[in-house]
Amino acid sequence: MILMLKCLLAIPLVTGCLCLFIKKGRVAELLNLLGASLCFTISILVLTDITKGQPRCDFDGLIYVDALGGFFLFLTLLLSLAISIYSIGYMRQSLNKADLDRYLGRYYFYLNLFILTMILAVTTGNLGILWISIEATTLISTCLVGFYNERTSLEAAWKYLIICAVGITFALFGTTLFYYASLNIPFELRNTLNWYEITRFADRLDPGLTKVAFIFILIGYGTKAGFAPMHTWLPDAHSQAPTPVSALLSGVLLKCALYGILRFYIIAGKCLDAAYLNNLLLTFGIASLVIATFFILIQKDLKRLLAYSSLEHMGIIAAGIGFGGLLGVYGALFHVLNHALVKSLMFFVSGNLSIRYHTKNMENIKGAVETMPLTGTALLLGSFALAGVPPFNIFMSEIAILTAGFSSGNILASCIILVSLVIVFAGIVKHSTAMAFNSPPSGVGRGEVDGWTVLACSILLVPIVILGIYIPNFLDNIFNQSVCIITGEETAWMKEGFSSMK
Amino acid sequence: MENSSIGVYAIDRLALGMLGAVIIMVLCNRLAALVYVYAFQSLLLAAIAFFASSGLHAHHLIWMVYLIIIVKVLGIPYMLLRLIDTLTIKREVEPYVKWPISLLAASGLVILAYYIQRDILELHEGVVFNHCLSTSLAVILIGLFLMITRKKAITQMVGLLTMENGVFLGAIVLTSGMPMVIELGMSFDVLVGILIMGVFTFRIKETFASIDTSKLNSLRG
Repeated sequence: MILMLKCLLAIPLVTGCLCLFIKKGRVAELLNLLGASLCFTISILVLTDITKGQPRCDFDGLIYVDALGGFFLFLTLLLSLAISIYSIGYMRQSLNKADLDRYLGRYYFYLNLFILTMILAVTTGNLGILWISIEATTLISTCLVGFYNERTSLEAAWKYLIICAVGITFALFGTTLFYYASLNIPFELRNTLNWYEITRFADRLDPGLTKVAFIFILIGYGTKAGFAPMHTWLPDAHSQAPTPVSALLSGVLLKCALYGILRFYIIAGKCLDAAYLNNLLLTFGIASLVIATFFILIQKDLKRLLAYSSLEHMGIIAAGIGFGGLLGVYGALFHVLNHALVKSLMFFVSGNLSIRYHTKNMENIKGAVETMPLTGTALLLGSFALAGVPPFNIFMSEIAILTAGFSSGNILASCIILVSLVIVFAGIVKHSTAMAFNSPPSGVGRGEVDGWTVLACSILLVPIVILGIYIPNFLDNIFNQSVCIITGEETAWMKEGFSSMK
Repeated sequence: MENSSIGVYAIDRLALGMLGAVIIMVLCNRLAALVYVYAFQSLLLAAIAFFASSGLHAHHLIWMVYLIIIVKVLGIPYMLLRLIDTLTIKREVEPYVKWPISLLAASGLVILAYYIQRDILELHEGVVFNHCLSTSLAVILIGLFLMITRKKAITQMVGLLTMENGVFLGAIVLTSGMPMVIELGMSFDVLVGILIMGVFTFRIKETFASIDTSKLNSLRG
């Protein structure tokens, strides 16, 4: 199993480098698709192995995958597969025909490295390596955000780089404080930043120090996760990156940062009052939600609308964890998956629309159902799913989180979420119906832009519809085990220690 | 034991020196001077790592000393000076706020840092904590202040590097350095980050004809 994890790290690296050196765009596309499907298959194997009840661990915890990490790994690779399919169609259309080969090679190189850093972030059990890989995601994805090298994309890339670098520096300070706190425990710990070892003895950490350390972590990784008021890079980066990358940023990168917060939340939860941590998360969550709601209503740019909607959903997820309990955390994790699927679909649709209409301004996009029947349908279904309409998956997780909110006694917070959801619903449905219906502006061609992009959309629609009706057994299993890890219930392997995992 | 207490005393004073350096950075008027002060501050950091490696019995920190000298004292400042040479015409710092207000804000941040150490963390014990944790916090906060209040891309980079120096100070003094693999990874990340920022500064200069980040203002709402 450890061998598979090593393969998982090696495949994107090899594919990425090959893509850079092979000067043929078509070959790079296929290589990337092959690598992504291989990685996805491996992630499923890893996941089925882990959910039998034991985490896997090697190199003193440098590689460590439990159900929580496995879930984020699965999410990353599922999305990277969908994005690989979509990239083939989209990048062909959006780049200059003349130097397609050169740009495609570079694009797939960055894309693979970006995915590699995210895989590393969720498969390591060392808090230092976690920090290094999350910092590396910023560095690589900056190159992707600034890929088109225009005025606006340069501006977005610079803001993204600087703001996230500052955030990540705070996270480093927080990590240092956690490390310092763990050094003060007289115990058999071997002075490493090993998450698993620190968690086992976390009840002996100094509470005052842990409080401050967690705030630094929350601000630091929270910047990357897009929590308000540190979210200002998010709409710029999401709107200026190539569309497949926007989907990756929104669907996976924000979640990887959240994963970082969760790891520290678990440690801090063992020595601090749970209410203190939950209130912090709840505050950031509600702030993000309220700010996003306002901007969604007044938005004109399609991709910025989707970016603010990501902010809104990150807020809901943070609130779900803040409400706590089985239902809240389960709902939050389920929402992580649901949001990633739906938001990627919406970014794919927005990419198709912007190629056909040559604009991202929603006022100039009209009659999508008429010009592009399949994309138009996906736009309608996707935006209803995004707004939380009943038969779709997001409705299920939102209901779970809201129920957790009301039953845990956070009436005010739950009411704010409820009101915001209604407003966002109105905003998104208004925008999307205006784009889908009416008569298309003159001079806009008919038909889908590319077969691959339609394929990617329809692949994503399947789980979106299915998850709204029922949750497959294996997912339910992963969620339950992850909830146990987050809420700190001791399982058998926690007590037995390292030796059982080798 | 004698040796170790001298080390601790030296570390404490050198940390104050780093705080002094960051306040001089707030007052720096020319870009090149800013970079030189940064290099000096990094040298102080290397000295702290050196004393910590002998005084606090953390011998792996000696590698940290070499790493800091190569990357932070020589490599990055050299690169920044090259950037300033090739990219800027007006070589002044161009702050958004006036000098007296900057200085006032910096002193406020120092007080805040001491307040956090004394009253929130309640860490009094040990000579090492006399100034080190609060100094490291103060350097981080003032570095952030530099980034926010200066217009040029290069000053933002220096501010970020200053923040990182503050974090490294905290890591060296509090924890006698992180495990080796992680120190290496972090230094590598810092270096790559600065290289990428350098590349983007070039591209911004090409596209906007200046490295004034206040001109990066077209994306709103």
